Amino acid sequence: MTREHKQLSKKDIEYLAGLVKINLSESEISKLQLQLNDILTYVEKLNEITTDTIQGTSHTVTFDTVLGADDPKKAQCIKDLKGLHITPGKKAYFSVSKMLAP
Amino acid sequence: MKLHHLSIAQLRMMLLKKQISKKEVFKYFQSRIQKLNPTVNAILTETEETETMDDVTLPLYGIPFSMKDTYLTKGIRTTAGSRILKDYIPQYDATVYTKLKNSGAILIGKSNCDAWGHGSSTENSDFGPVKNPWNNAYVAGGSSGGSAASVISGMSMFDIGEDTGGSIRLPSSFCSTVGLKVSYGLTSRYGCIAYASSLDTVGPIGKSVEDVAIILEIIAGNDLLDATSVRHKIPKYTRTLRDKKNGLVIGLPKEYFKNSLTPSVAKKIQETIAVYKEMGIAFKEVSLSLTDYAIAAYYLLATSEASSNLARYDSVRFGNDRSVFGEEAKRRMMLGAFTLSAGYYDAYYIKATKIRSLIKQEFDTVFKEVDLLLAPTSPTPAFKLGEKINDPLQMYLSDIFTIPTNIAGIPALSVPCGLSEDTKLPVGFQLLGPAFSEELILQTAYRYENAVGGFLKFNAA
Repeated sequence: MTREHKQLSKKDIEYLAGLVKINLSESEISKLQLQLNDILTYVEKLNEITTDTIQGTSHTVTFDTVLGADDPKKAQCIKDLKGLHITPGKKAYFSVSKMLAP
Repeated sequence: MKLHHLSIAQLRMMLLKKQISKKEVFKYFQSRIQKLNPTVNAILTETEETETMDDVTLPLYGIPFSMKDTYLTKGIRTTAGSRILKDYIPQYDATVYTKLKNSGAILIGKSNCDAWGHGSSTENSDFGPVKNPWNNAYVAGGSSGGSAASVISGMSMFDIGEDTGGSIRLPSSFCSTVGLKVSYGLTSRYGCIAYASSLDTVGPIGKSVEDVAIILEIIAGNDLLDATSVRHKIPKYTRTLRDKKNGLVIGLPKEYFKNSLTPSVAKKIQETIAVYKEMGIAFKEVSLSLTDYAIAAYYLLATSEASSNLARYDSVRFGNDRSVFGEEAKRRMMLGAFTLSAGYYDAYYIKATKIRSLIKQEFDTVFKEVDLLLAPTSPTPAFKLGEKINDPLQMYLSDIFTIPTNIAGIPALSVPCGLSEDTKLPVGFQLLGPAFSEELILQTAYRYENAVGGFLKFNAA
């Protein structure tokens, strides 16, 4: 697959921010557009190398599928779960925003 | 007496002979932190003396150490340098921490780092940058900047850093510590807050080659909890450290000696080569023609993996919403989301994995000709705080000499080789070897350390 020289528009940035679930201010959008396009221009250099027949490497060490024995002693279940100290509010439970709008 | 100038073996001997108690040692390093940390900012969380096994025969009995704040420590705050986790108390221990505790070592603090390991200067930490102990106007390197700074300034005896694109070696070169990026899989990543899972490695930072070998021997090896940890037998690094391989040939990759290398660093590297030549070691010029492409491939692979690893942080489970992410994390998640998105996945992510295959092949070919490679760790000594912070691409290029090894999964050790002539800041060289050649790398570095009569000691405070 050959790639056209991709540059991100403001709209692309807003779309990507939606994908990674962050809110960006106007100035952050402009700044990120500039910086990400800078980086994308830089990585264009990879196209100088032909890779049509090359197999990709996602991991440098080849491993077999590792399946251990189904042994509860080795299962390392986390005991005495403590985590509620970081929940806001007085009561020790997790509160989340409403899932369904009325 | 300056306990922080002692080697692990020396301090352990004092403890063994009861010339000093475990408590006194801990208090000494605690007072070093209290004295130096307000300026250096290397330690994010100080820990209380924990109950350890009272067995003086343990290999690290009573030795205080610090650990990059990306390793989970049950009951002790772990932030990864990010405000998202500013109140996060882990439920379990990282394997590397368990192994060190079982060897008698005592955690004294969690070290500052670029948030999530994203950075080359520790300026991306949400808790303020680490200052270089040698000159506070300069960066300590990153992302494990707090790790190298705490070790060299004597706030801890050693540290466990994390190297994804140079994060152990760059700070080691900037601060004059010995830092090892291990072969991928040699050490367990269980309990390590992930940056880019196919590149992350867990490794030691110490003041001497021997110290690093001692720690490596303890932390290396298979772990049931990390399916990517190796299953073969681990050598006794400390036992073979003094061995000398006959007919050793070291390669000099010519792409690492081009004009991007500053003259002050080039000079120190040439002096290092001369030391080795004096021992009768042969050198050979080799070529790694894809070096210039490594950064581009890395920033596609690493950001893709980072965007998926950071997707889990939400306010329901971690107490802070995603608006709290710092600038660099946002940048990397956005780039990663783009390179993995439909229509661009093949052109960016898959392309980068193919370049990765080629870079790995190139290293494999070179290691048929030579045993090890010698190269500068960084093209420059430490740069000034603020110098590169507004230009992410320039910051990324600081890692030009460290990134290829992560892409290929091979080990590399950064070794101090004195101060640069102009700025009087530390310079480091690195020894690279084929996968799982840590033994030979450590032996070769040890020969250098002895030939030059040991490394610089930090005397300023």
